[in-house]
Amino acid sequence: MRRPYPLTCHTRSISFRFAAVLLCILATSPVLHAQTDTTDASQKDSSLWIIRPDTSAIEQDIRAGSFTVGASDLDAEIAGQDVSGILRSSRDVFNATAGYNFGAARFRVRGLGGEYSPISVNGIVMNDLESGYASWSLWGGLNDVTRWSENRTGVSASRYNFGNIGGWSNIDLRASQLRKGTRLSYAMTNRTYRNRAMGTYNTGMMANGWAFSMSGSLRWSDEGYVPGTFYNAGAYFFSAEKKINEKHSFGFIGFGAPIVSGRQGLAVQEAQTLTDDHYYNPNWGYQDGKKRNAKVSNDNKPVFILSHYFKPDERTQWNTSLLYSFGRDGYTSLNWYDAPDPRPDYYRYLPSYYDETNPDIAADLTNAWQNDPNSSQINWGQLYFANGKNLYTVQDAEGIQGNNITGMRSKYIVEDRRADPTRIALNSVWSRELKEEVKLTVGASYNSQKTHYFKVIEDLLGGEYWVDLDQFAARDSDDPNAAQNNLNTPNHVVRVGDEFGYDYDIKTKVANVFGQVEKKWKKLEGYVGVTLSSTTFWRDGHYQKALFPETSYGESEKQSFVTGGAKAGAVYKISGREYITANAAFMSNAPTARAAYLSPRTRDAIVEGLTTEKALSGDIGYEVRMPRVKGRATLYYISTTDGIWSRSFYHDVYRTFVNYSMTGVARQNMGLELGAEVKLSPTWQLTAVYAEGQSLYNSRPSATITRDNSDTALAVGRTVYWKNYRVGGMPQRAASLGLRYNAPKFWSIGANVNYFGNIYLDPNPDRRTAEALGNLVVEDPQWNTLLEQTKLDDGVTMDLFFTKSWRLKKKYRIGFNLSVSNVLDNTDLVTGGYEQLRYVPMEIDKFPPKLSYMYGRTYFAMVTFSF
Amino acid sequence: MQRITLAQRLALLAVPFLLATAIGCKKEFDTPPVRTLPTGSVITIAQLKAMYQGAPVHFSDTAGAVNSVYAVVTADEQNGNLYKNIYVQDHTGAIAMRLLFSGGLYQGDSIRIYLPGTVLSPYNGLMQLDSVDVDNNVVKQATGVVIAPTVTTIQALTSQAGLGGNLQSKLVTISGVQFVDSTGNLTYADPVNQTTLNRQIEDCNSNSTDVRTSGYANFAGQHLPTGKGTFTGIASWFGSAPQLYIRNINEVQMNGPRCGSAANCTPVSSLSEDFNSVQNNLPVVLDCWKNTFTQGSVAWRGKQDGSDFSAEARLSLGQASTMWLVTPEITYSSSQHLSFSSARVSWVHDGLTAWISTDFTGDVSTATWLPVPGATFAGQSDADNAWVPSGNIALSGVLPSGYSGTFVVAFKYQGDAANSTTYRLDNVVVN
Repeated sequence: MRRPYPLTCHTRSISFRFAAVLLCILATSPVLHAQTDTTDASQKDSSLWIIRPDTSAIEQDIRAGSFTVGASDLDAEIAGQDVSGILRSSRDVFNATAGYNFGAARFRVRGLGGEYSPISVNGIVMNDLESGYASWSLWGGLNDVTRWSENRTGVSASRYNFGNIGGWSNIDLRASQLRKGTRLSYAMTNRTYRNRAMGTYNTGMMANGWAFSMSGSLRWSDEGYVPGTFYNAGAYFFSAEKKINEKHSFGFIGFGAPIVSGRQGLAVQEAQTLTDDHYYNPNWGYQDGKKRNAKVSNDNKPVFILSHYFKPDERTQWNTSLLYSFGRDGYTSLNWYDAPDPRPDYYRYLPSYYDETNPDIAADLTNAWQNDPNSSQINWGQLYFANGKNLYTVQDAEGIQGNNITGMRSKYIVEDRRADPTRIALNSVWSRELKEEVKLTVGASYNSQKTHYFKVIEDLLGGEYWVDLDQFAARDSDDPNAAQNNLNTPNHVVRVGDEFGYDYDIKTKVANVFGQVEKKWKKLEGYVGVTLSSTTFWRDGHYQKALFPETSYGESEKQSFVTGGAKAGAVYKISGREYITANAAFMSNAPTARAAYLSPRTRDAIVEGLTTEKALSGDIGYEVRMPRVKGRATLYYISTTDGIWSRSFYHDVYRTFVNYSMTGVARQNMGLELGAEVKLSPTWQLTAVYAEGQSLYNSRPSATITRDNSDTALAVGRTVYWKNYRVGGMPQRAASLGLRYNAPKFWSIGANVNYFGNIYLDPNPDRRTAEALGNLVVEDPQWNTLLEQTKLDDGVTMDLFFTKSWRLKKKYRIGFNLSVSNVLDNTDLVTGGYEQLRYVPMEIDKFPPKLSYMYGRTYFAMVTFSF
Repeated sequence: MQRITLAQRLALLAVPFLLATAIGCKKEFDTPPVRTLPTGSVITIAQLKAMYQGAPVHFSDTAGAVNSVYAVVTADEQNGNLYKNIYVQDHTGAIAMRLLFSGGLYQGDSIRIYLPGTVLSPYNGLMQLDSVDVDNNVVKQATGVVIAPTVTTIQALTSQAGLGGNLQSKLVTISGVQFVDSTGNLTYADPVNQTTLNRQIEDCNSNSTDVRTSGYANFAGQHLPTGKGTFTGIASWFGSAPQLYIRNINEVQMNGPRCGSAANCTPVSSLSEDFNSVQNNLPVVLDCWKNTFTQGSVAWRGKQDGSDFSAEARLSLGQASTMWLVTPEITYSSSQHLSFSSARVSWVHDGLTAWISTDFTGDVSTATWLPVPGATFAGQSDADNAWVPSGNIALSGVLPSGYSGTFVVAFKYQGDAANSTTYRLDNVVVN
């Protein structure tokens, strides 16, 4: 019997009920991940801050993908299920709304970032070992197969790994577990990409013991929602499984998602006002009449997994997987040498820079910004023009005396900043039902990652070569050799495709064991779990930099940390329809190499006082599952201490990157989650969700400020008075009210009204120091200007959706989904941004914050065909 | 119900798969058509400076307007002493250029300055070409072009480096000068507070002038030399007095005895000079030797080619020149012989001659010069850069028998734009 793809859950057959319910639960899973910070937070823009990960591309993708199922499509038949598995699973109305409706406003469940939520594929944790973040782009566009994931938020039991305080997810890509059938879909949208085509075919377990699954997709746009962005992505997936006998099965999984996309950059409000565009993007400019983006990310990191599924007996499972992954990751950026800053939004090109000193120039600049795209955007033609006539002779190129090279030396280039990871992981988890209602799970894993950082010349922009010198060093030293990036190849002349700049590996190795016992009683279900990990990381430099000959080349000292944790939780059944839940965990997390190295591009110096972060998390909740009303109320408390906070930024007076690192950062997140789903009638359904949180910095960290081109710290042990400042960049209060009509004839329509409030700009720590206040007296208005935290405006948005499905010949199913987000086209809601770390204490407005706005009205329309 | 075969399913899937493999390659951008700066009419630096008639001259690209000036960069921003400010020179003069943005021009760059957009006006007595955008106003023609410093004096600077003066903004060398402060405690500038400072140099006749150094210069923290010697730098001007800028700290060679403690130039009985102490491209300064010119503005300069040092007579910008390199006084004995080596580069004429005088007292123009007979010089038939021995020349053939006084040997070079062979001299031996 062939069934339609079980997306809308009108499954009636008893034999399929269990599976359908499970699938429906899992199907909504991707929505949970919208809060996951996935982007490389340390990628350095040649000049300004990269602080906030730009998650928009990935979020959009996930949000778009999630809607193909529809978070509220579900009406699960949950009787007879493990309660603890259902509670707080992804079908939970709060989590579904938080992920989908709140995701656009960068809402983060419990105020936590992705580093606190491990994501595993077949049990192997996929979070980047160096940054801690999970990269959803690894399987972007494979929604058809990755949507079958299992997710929890907060502390909970897990049969895959220990999890973390933010929760955990596991994606099962075992071929036999992927639903048999074919599915083709095409979607149109106006978000990150404009078109998506996807196809998937799963055989299910066939009579010969084989199961195969394959999936592929394309996502593309010449220009996304943000001007100058584009998107070109493919995705491929293949999974095979062979059942040897009742006890043994072997599986192979291979997938990858090459993505090339032009990125958005944040700008200051002045630039947004001048161009009358909240989505002003400084990254692009016209070249021959076509928009060209300078920041193009280009990733392709295929993943291969071999698995052994072992079932020695009915009550025991032992799954072992080996993973290998390699590939490229990187993004391009402009670079320049001994030439004016080519970026249009450099602060000295803005009218405000001349407002007081020279109003005439300010007026000219205002006019240019408003009317000349070559002023408000990158002027590519000008860069080619300048490069094409910059005749220069490199003396003693490559360190060979008399090897003088004369030609057009590029002043401006596009460079590709690479961070190519290679990864090997082994994971083995054994679980057994010891006796009735007692289950033991133990597991061990080893994970090794090497990330190779280097730069490659992408485009010489009309010049003939680039000389690999550190211009920051060149200007500050009378030692003619000081500017050499690599003493082994002095005066290195590089051309397209050549490596230059820096070249080093960051290697991280993590070994982990965990164990968990789950037990059920009549009225109570509970679990306890423990974990122990060892983390080691080090830097291996391949260039000997002239400024730091001793600390730039070769393997650095290894940093090792032992961490552990314990967790426990319980569900008390007041009745079959009411539950009290409680969970708690205490654990430590090793610092990541990314946070630990002060300036890995130039040397192996690490943050002083490096230690493990401690986290304490607990929640208590009440949950109700009446036939007409489902809902929950949860109170949570999370405290982390001994964290590290590292950022770097370009300082044009020091003429170098400044690295700002703080140790002893503590945070406290507490709040309330409320979610309810009410059936008003067989066709009308109401949802209400409310999140009230308070995420605060909770300590006075100690800051060390260093520079890329000097061993001498600018400040050591500077106290940052950061206590009780709000964690910024996310709404700390959010609410949503939704109404849905489910027509009997397989169509539905609905709307949500969402509210976001208590959004703050993340505070620049250095403004909250005694040094910044200098000699100001408390009465001075500048005192408050420096110290006060910027609270952004509250906002309201509305989302609409419509779904309809048809069946043809009882065998084919055609589905249509349309969702419109932010129907009212509210383009004034600031959802992110940051205070620039570069600031002048008495002229705060000189380096104003950079702001990002929620997208205005967008749509996602999709047709699916499945059989 | 028609069954869908595996093959059909795979075919359906193949479409996105094939597309998926095709994607992921990036779109390459073409190189846009190269824009060029028109040359238009060309003027010299002297003509450019003469265009200033009391009001700032704003150059525009209207038809028929003056468009281009060719020049060579003599001082750049590389060592931090100059910022958004460089000096250029041609055979008619020199001028300061103020840049809109720092960077991009280097000493020795031969450039064409496209004038539209720039402004010509003096600042405190220094003529400047202002608002120069290197990317938009400059086309480079060649690199590594050497401009020889003009040999001059502090007195000459005071009278000729002001507005309209022929030394203004030129690269100059002044010999026989010392810093007024002789303690060795002072630094060129204040690198800690990045403060610009003036220091005074003087000659032995107490003529003095300022040397101005930026606190951002990479030699700002170096101590002033305490000796006397030669100073090479840019002859700038501020208000009513000259102001010197160092373009390269290695061009300040002030290690000799200070004024009043001059070395004793007593006649020697023999001589052997290999020129190993000369500085490349800087005037030859040797104890008790005389290096001077009677025509043009440059004297003999040091030449370093690998580890081979010599003295070189080379024209600067084709200027007609006569240069003299005179040995210390030598006491004559009848058996003495003279030998030396010479080499030439790009031969077009025989420019080097050797002379002997017994009445030289420091001024080549008043001495009596006798030609050295029978010396072989590098000539047309020799290869470029090849050292040609002069042969061992008996001085008894020049000086009268019975003479027992002193004499000097002079190497005289003469050339002009049409007769521009460069000559080198090495291993001068008398014994």
